[in-house]
Amino acid sequence: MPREKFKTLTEQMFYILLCLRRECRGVDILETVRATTAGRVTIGSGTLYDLLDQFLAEGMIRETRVEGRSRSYLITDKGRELLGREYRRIRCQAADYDRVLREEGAG
Amino acid sequence: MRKVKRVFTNFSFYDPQTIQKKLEEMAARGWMIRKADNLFWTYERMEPQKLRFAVTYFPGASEFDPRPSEKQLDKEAFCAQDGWELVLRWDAIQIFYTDRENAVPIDTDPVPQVENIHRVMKKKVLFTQLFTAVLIVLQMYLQYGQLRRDPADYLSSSFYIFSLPLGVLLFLAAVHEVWVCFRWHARARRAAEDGIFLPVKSSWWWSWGLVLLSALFLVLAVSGTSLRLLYLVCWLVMMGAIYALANRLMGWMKKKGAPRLVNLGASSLLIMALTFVGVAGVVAAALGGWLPLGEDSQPVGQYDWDGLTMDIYDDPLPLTVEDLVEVDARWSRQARVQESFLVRYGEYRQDLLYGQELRGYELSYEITDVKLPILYEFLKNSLIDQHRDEVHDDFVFVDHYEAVDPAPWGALEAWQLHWSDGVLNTYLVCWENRIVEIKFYWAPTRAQIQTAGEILQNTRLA
Repeated sequence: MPREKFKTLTEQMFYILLCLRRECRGVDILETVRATTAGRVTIGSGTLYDLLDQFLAEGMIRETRVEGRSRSYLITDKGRELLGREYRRIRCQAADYDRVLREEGAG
Repeated sequence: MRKVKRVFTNFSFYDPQTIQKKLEEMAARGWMIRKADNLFWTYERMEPQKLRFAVTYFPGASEFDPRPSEKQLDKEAFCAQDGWELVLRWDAIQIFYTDRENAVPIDTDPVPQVENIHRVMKKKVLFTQLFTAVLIVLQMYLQYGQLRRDPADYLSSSFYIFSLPLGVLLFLAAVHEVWVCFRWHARARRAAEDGIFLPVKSSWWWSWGLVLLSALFLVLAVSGTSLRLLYLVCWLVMMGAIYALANRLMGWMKKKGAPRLVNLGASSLLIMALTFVGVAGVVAAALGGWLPLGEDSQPVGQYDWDGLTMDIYDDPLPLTVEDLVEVDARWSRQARVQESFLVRYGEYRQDLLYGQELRGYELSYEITDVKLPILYEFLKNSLIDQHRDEVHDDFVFVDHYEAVDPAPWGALEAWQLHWSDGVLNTYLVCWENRIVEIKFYWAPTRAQIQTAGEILQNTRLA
């Protein structure tokens, strides 16, 4: 079954929200994510637009500034909560991984 | 050397990977995409280049929009800032290209990509294909009615016979498209969870097979009719003109900035109005004799009777009144024969010209030669079943065939029609592969029936 919308985040969703903990212009997100992940995660411009549009519609981010076609965004409390939840989920996954490996090593 | 090329295009609207691959191949051969529509894509000559293309979807866009929305322009600006140059907008599709080999693709997260394509599909495919399927079902229902009313006429018409598989094929194609969309969406959503974009697979053999089979059935349907080429050309020109004019109107209204719904409404109204005018015009021209319908019999003269002008025909008939009785009169003889690989069918009538003293010596009959034996019983029973008694308020309206001695006809079986007024001189006569329904307008003698039977049994339909 496909997941419920935003119940979990794809890697690109995660990094876009992470970038927007600080006010950021849309197009700058592309470079920021690339730099943050040392090029491991790249986001396409179409995907960025689509995800920003969806986050705006769901109230995860808000528009802070509009200059011509350049727009800046900032994460909202709802977005922060979503990002935090995803972070905890990933931590849980990592913890499970560590535990299983420890148990295997002990056995 | 030509600078512009139009190429018949037959791939799915929702298959970005196939479109991208095709555009990259064309660019490498020195052709850049400039314009797209449902059938033909237009390319312009350029220096051969190694380019990368990206096809992306904007669900909010429509081909009736006077200009792209602000949101669409925002998305295009994002792409431009990342090095992708817009080359074409067509309906909900936007096509970009770049000469940078290492450019990040426009769509990198399959989750929103799948949702975008699905939203466009829902808007376009569901309505269009379901509307098409409903129209085809309606058309097939009308054809089924024709088959029930007059099976011999139906089965002897190549047009009907081959338009049936054509209808089935187009119906299956419409249903298949809807099914493919739903199936793709379910699978693509699951794949997107794992970060994989599952493309809409457009099957080469299916799409080209569909086009070729449809064309084959259409040609067979049309070539089997007696309709003249001019008549068929008139229909084709009319449909082409409607398509072209509707496109021109849509383009003009877009230029004038008409809102989407106004443009859509005006274009739909124009199509309906032109279709009505076109059909009425062709039918009027055919009825008025300016547009000969086909090789059906043509009148050889006219006469006036009671203020009316009547046509006189002199078609060859297998059986005439003069074969049966010695009378001197003037008749109009009319014949219509059509043939398919299943049935050969002839419809004949010999009518006295009005205003003569002689009355009653007229004939009308239909000869059905069954080429496929399995159809024989069906055709015979259909003709018998067309006459059934009806009961209304305890009153029985008699209308049925009753078996009679087939010997005078030299036939295997014979029936005579019974009517409320009594027994009519209408017979259904069956030989091995031939069924004849004949109406005498006088009471034929046994000898006349014998003569008619011999002639009708042995005549060969031209």
